Amino acid sequence: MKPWLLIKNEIGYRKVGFGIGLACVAIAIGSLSGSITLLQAHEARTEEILAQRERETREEMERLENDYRRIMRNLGHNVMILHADQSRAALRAAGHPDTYLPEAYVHRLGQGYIETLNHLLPVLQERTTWPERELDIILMGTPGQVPVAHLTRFLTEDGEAYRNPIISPIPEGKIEIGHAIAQELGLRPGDTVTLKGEPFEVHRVNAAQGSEEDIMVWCNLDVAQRWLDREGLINIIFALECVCDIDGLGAITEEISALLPDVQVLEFSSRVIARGEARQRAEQEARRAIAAEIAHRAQIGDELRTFATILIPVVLLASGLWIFFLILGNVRERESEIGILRAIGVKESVIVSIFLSKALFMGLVGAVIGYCIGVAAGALRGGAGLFDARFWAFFNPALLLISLLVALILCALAGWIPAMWAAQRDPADILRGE
Amino acid sequence: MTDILDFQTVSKTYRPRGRSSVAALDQVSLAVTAGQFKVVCGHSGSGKSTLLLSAGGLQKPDAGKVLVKGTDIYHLSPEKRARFRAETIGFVFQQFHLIPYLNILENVMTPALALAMDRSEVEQRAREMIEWLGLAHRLDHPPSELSIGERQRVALARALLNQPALLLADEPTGNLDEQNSEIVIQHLRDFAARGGAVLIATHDTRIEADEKLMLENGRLRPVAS
Repeated sequence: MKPWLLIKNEIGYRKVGFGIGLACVAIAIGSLSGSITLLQAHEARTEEILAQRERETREEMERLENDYRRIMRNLGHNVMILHADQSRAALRAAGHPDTYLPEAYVHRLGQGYIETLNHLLPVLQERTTWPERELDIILMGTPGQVPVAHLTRFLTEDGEAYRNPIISPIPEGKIEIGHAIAQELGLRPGDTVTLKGEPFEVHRVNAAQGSEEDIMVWCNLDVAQRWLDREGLINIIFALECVCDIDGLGAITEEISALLPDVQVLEFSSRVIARGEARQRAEQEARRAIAAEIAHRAQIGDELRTFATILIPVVLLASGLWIFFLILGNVRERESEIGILRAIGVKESVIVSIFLSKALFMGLVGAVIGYCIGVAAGALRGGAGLFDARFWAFFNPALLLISLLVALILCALAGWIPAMWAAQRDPADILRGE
Repeated sequence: MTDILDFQTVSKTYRPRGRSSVAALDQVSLAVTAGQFKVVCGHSGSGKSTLLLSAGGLQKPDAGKVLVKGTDIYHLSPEKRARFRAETIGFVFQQFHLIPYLNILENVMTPALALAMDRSEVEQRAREMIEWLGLAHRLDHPPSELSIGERQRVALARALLNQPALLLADEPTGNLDEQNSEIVIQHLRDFAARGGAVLIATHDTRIEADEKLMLENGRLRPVAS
């Protein structure tokens, strides 16, 4: 006869007690495996979400690229019209053209009914000195925006000016100065200065641009022509927001050249840069959104981990105590049996093995039940569907092994003291007690 | 004849905390030889159970020696004493102490837990024992389905499975009616007749025995037949 027969029959005889013990183990292991599975499911879901976000971002970037192309096409080109002989190297070196155009060119363009042109701004630009202040400046003379004949809806009744020009003429007796000059000379709007022997009121101080614009002094074209001795001349015509197709610079050049054969057209504000910057901003925004999602998911993960690190020990401890009291109750219930087994010569070690084996068997079965329930609940709670391949992937042997080990250790610890107590009970006390 | 049980001036006093001590056995000497059927009578609490438990190696006395088949059983280690008990001594108690979730055959076979014995041999012996006690038709039944008398016979069969030299019976008829008492006592006598030594502790003075003793105030005295 083997002790296993006693264990097997006793389990069948006291089903309820064993069932409660199984439930305790199953709850403990279910909490453990469920929490681990939930964390794994959370991480898997996070990876899925992030992969999806990456995909969406890529698609969004492609969509934005197309949008910006369309928008830039609608916004049009910013170009400058220079004399055909103007060297680009010299332009870059001096910071202003050293060849000149007749001022009349801008009016010819304005009256030329070129559909792609929107805003024309003639400028006489030259680097010079502010003698009274011993300061290098770039002098910008302009009469303001020159009307384009086909845009009648934006012009005054006489067709001589815009109703709401984007660049107005500098009023008589006034100048506009760049930010660096204002800083250097301590000037503010309304201050009076003397420039090349003439008094001027500071009409406006332009905002800092971080470019040569910060050392520009804007004045009326007549004044600039007089000072620079360039009567009737300009050196740049800015044509702003020219509307055309995406590769429309060629078309603009062609149309302008038809009217003004001795000019060249340069794009000065690159669409590529603008588009790149816009795209970069959108991409940064998308990256920020992904980073926020990662942080959010990480926070949820941390909260789950914190919850699990509290829940699991508490449940294990509570279950362990419950199993301990169940086994202790079982020992008390079986005192008579223990007494007679000891009387007929059964060794203490056999008594211990009977109670401990039962506890370990309970741990084994409870662990399998708890593992299955815990993993299934964790996977379902973590977003895996019952019929997904992902759901079954959560049932991994390593976690089963951990569950079995934890359950066996839990039951061995909980069962050890009652089993030892049973084995060391004095049979005389039990048998005399009858 | 060889003494199977030799009780030499054995004393045992209980000292319950906070209460006065009780001398259950006071220099008791007693011998039971092979084939002898001996009865110790006494009223409840007279120390009969203490005497049997001490004789069976389950309760170490304060003084004196307990020899079973010439072995001082309290000089053995607990492990060796358990094995010695399994091989040499059989017990029968008033409450039977049958294991409720084992059937009759399995209950009778429980002493095999203590000894490495061949299962088929043990089962064969258990069946013979059960048949001898007239319970062959109850083999598969759990104890709860047996009458009180039948339960005591199962307990007796269990005590005799390992063919002990000494059988100790504590109030074996305490819960039985007259007819069942007679059956159980007859089986005990049969065991003694086959060379076993039997010591019964009982309050029933009517049981016939080879020698009858009375335990009073921890001391034994003979009772006239």
